[in-house]
Amino acid sequence: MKKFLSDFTLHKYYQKVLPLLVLVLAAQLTSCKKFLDEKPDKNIIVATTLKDAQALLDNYNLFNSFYPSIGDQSDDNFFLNDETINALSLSYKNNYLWEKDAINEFEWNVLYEIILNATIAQETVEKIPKDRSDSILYNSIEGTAFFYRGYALFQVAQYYADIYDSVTAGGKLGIPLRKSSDGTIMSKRSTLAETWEHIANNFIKASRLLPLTSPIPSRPTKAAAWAALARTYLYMDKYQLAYKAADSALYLKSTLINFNTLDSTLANPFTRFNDEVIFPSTSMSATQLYSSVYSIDTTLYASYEKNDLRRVMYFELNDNKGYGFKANLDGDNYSGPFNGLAVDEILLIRAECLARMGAVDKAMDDLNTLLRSRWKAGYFIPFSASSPEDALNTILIERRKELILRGTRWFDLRRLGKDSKHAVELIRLANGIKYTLGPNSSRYTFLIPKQVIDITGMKQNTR
Amino acid sequence: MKKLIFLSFLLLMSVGVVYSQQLVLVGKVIDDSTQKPIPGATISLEKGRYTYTDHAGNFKINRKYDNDSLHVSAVGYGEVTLKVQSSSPNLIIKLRATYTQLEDVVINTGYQQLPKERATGSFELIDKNSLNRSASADIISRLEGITSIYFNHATQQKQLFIRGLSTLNANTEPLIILDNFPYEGNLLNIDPSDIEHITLLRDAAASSIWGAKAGNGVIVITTKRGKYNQQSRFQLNTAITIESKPDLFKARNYMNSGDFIAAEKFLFDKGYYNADLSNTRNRPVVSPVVELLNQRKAGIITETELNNKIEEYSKIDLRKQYLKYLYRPSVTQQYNASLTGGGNAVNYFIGFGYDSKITSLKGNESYKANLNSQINLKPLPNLEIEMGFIYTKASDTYNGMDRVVPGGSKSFMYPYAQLADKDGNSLNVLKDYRMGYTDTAGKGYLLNWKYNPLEEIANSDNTINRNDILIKLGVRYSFSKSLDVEIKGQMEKTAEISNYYYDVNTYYARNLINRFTQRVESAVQLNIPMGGILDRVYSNLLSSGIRGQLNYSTKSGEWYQLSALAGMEIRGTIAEDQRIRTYGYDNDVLTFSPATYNTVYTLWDKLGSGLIEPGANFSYTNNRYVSYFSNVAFRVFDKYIFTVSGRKDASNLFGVKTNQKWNPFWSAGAAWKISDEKFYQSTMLPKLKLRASYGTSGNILPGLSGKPVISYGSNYIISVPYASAISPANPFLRWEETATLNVGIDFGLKNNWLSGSFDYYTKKSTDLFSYVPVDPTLGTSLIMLNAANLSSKGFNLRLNSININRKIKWETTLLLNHVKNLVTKSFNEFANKGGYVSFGYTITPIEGKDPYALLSYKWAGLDPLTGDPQGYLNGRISKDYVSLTRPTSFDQLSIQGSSRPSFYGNIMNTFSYKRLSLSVNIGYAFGFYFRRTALNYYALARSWGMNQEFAERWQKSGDELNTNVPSMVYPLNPSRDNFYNYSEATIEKGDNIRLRDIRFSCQLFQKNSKTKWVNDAEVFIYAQNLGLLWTANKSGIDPDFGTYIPSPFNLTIGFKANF
Repeated sequence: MKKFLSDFTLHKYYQKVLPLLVLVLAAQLTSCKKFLDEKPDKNIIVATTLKDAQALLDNYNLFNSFYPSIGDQSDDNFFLNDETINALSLSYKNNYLWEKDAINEFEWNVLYEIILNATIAQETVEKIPKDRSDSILYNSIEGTAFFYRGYALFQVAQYYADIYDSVTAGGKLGIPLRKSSDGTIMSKRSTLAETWEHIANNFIKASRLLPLTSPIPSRPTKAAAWAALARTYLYMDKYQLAYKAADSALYLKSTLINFNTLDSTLANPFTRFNDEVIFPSTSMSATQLYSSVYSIDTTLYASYEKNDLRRVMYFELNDNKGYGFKANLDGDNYSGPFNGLAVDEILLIRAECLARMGAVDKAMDDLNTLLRSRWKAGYFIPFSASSPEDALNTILIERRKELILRGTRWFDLRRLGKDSKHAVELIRLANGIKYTLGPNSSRYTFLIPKQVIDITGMKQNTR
Repeated sequence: MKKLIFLSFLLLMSVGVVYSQQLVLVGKVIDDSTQKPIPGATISLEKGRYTYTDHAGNFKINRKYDNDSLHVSAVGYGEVTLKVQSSSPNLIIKLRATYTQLEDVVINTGYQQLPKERATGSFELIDKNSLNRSASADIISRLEGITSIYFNHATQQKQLFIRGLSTLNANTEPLIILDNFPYEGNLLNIDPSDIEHITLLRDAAASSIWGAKAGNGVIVITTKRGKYNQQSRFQLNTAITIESKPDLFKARNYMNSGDFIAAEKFLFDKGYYNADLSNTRNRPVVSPVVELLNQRKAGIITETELNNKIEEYSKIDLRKQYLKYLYRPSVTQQYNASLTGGGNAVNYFIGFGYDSKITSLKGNESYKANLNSQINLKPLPNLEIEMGFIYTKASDTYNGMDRVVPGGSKSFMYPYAQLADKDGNSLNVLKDYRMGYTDTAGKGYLLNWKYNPLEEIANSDNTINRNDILIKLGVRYSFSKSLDVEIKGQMEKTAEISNYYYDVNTYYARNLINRFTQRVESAVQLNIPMGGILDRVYSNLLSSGIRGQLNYSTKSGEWYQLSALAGMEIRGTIAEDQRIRTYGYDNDVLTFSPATYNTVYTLWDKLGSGLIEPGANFSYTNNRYVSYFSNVAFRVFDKYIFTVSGRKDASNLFGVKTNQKWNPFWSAGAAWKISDEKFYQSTMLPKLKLRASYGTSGNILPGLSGKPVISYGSNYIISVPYASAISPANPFLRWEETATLNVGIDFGLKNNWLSGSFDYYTKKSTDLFSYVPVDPTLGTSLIMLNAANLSSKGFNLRLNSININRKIKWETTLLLNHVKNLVTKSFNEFANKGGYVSFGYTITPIEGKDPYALLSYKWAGLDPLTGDPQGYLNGRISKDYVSLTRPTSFDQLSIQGSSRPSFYGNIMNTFSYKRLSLSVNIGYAFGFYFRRTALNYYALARSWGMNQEFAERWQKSGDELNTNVPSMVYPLNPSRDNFYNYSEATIEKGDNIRLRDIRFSCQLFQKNSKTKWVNDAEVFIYAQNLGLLWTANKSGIDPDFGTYIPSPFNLTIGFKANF
């Protein structure tokens, strides 16, 4: 041991060399922090700038093409033959036959992923001091975040919460609203009234912040916010508010495509981001939603008049000797069904609200404006109505005929079921067994994912 | 010591032949510690002859010169060389016992070289003789069958495990060190002939100095280098390996044509194909038999015509076609020449290697040239400079195909397909669309739409060119005998360019161009420009590291020795990928044409619609590490050894908080050489050493980062970049940690007839990355956290015995390894336990179970009336397949045990007689199960996924006594198939014994030969993959390869010589 120590004391040059080595090491230590600050992957960063927030909201695959198509899978616009039903995967089959244990968990997860991304974008923006020079961009990003949150929550509410009724909504369970990205805050269900109010508020805020136009077609604009608000109020049965919102949207955008200019021989007569689209979004595709697989309800198909161009633009004969829908407004029939906002739907909302408010002529004007663009030029005879009820009936029939595979039919079945005049009972036949779905059935609401219930302990829906 | 052996060896080489006078030298050789005589020791004179000691350790040797050197060696002892003079009296030569022959050698941890006898940890050393026993061009493969590493072949890419599993989601591969730094390049760049030895670091005392990446064990590869004062030597190695075609008849996923046609007829009668036959939209593929059946139904052909054609088809076996047209025997040639030598102040090693491989798939070839040089200088007595340089240039061609894929929803070709006619002319086969459709679809506007697999191989042009440069630089300065400082640096740059060129004649290009062609009135518009399509991928890897290290050692006479090292290391690895696609490319004049990426096109004939793929992709990753390390060894009387090591890692992958904390990896070890004790007198067991160590090492998951929350990407529908939230920030993200306790014993029996080592270990891996389910309402349903734990225990036994040591020598080496893993903590549990049934290739993290546990649905046999598979639901026999395949608790499943052997190893016997040597290596693996691939009717109908079990299916009552294969029913029921496929009925025992390889060699010149120009030369024949000797399963499946075809037999003829 003595020698061990003496090695250090005897040799003088250690005294010179060692401090030098220590110095070198120390110098490296201080530069280490910088060395380790390098991003491990260039594609991956912490969101801090307006550019990051904008990029988060430009996630087309998430915000514009990943919404549930559970409603389209379950509604009465189409039917499947036994061969197809038997070949369906379990979850699709259960949706089609309105089974009690239909499981649609992925959809919930994706909708809340949309909400998380929108919330992170909003929180990123809010941390940046507002500068006068970029206030337009700043507002636009914030508005977009509000829009997407409302847009996704609307879908969650329509699938995972009871049918909205203003009388009972205060006492019924709604959905978790997730107003912050903080993962330590436990999710809990708000009331149904709070849920819908929150959705409407998101769109109201968005309508104030969003720009009139956008250079990128997938981003929402002011018109989109108004249109989404009109849709929201319609499903809340708030017809006056819905009318106002629809009117504001149509004031900003009211272009209709004249079907006489379309080519019915194309695989799809529409192009992506076409003039009629206010906000583009599509839903997830499903086996039973490919036009070669299902057949459009025969009565529905028969209801299109000979000179109604939708007959040829919308449909074509498929392998089942039935008719398939070939006019996805997204322009790509291999995308899932279009469920975005377009002028036709908003015009129909305004018409319906006007009819419900008693303004028969104005209501029929809106309807005729729409249909004129759908019929063969020169053959259209404007519709008329003798009473508000008559007008409403006509508008609701035309609404169903116009909005095929647009994600709205299921929601319409939900809301119209409350009114015995418009309520319908759905019937399916599969392998000789008859399945029915009555108005206001609890089967109109889907189960919340088990993982959510297990972890948060929130109350499951009855189905 | 090593140098000494070498020098004496050299001296022996240059034997003089002139006799002048005869002097007699007499002496005795005794054991240094026991003072007992050593019989059979070799006594040789530098300038003379050699002899052996007698039973009393005495020798007598004639010598010719006054001054000579005497070299004494004996098995199990260190060698001694001493000067003898004319006046030398009777000599008493003391030899010091070493435990085994292996322990004479030096192991390399990547930070230091040390004699194995001084180690406290569990090291396994593979010297160049063992490495050169086999002939694989890839150095790591040569470790199979001669080490404790378990090689798993049941996955597409073989996996290596040192002492089982210590992670769930991170990398399971051991860390590979080339000389001093982790090696990130392609392992094929390392020429096995340039390797001196490989050290496996198995326990914490061995590996914890490698810190955060050493959790799976470490493989240290040490390249050859020159030695000072060494004669120039030239070495030549060549080997040619011929491997037979893979035995496609061993693949179970095949049905003979007759069976396949029977299934098609069944489905046709049920109307299964109606949808496809009437489909005029995307024109799905329809097999020729179904076309015929359809034509018969429509009355186009007669029953006789149909039967004749089917008869003809039934005789075709696609496997024969594949073997004839797609495969060939593979030929690998390896050449290596090296020159090594050294003077007083410089030494060098220069190796040049060239490999070529004609792969068993026609159209695949690879070439590699390799230059490796290592030059060490000593410009001053206490300064040494090391310079190393490895350059590799490799080129691979991948034009072959292992099978023909029909496309559409079909992944396998029907078994009666023909690739060529009787005269060998290549034929068109079904691809993507119905055969008749592509005859006329073009209406004269399109390119030929037919697919001809053999022409496709000829037209393909897929090459990968790789250039790799590795530069090593080291400076070592000694301040005194006890202190030196060294700085080492290494830089490696790999540049790889992959070209996938689809000439306009390839089906790939023609199909894409055709699909995106549009009719515009009477003409057509090409949306993909006419010409070839080129995908070019540039991959660059730059990894560099620099290390500063202080080495200190001191000793005080006999009683203690201390050696210590400490240092700091900085490393970084940048990986960059660029992928670019070019349309309308002409390889001859290098021109191209643009395509429009953001337009949705209606495809030709309304086959669908779609976007043209831009095919561009860029990525850039940069991993950085800063580490501090230290290692201290303290030896008392050379009998008691204590070691301590510590290491601290920081990385830009870890969370901020982790980098800030001082939380080092460490190890402590002790060893006791009992047999060196005075009181130890055992003659039965003259060599005995005990070792024990404990410590920690880590593992990381690259690609996971503690900091980021969003990830950027490109979108071509809207032309702006996008980002998405990928993970919440996790400042506590850290490495996984594995704590290992190792207790070992090294021993040698009398005369070393039996020697070996035994290591028992337990490992506790904690903070393992695991997906933890969270409330999906948060926006994500799983988060990767340091959450799971794993434990393992086992042992490694190595026994060497010398059974006969006469003219004929017979030695045996036995390796026996045991490992048992257990998941002790896991958060990730699916509600549907059906998610855990598997083939056992993936890790199933269930608390309390083996991570590779094979879970199955409980099997209740086939229904005797219908042939339906039956399971148990709530204790009752059930056919509710939907519920059976969605069990809610593990009680509903049966657990067969692990899909990884708990016992495995080898027995190698070596026989030598004079210059001939024969060794036979038998491998074994016990205590595991595997799942055989089983018949799935749904897959058969949908994707033509076949299984030979079809022939054994239940067809009538009574069959259930002999078979478990369910009957074919309609409508097809995927849940029913799924239930059977993953039931107990498809589990087999994996235990097996195989004849791994045989090697026969012949020494052309003896080592002490008088031929001057050649020192020694050897030819050898090596045969590998000789097949199973015994297997527990009755299905004739090689369990080690699972669903894959076993590695084919190969034969190597090699020659090596030293000049």
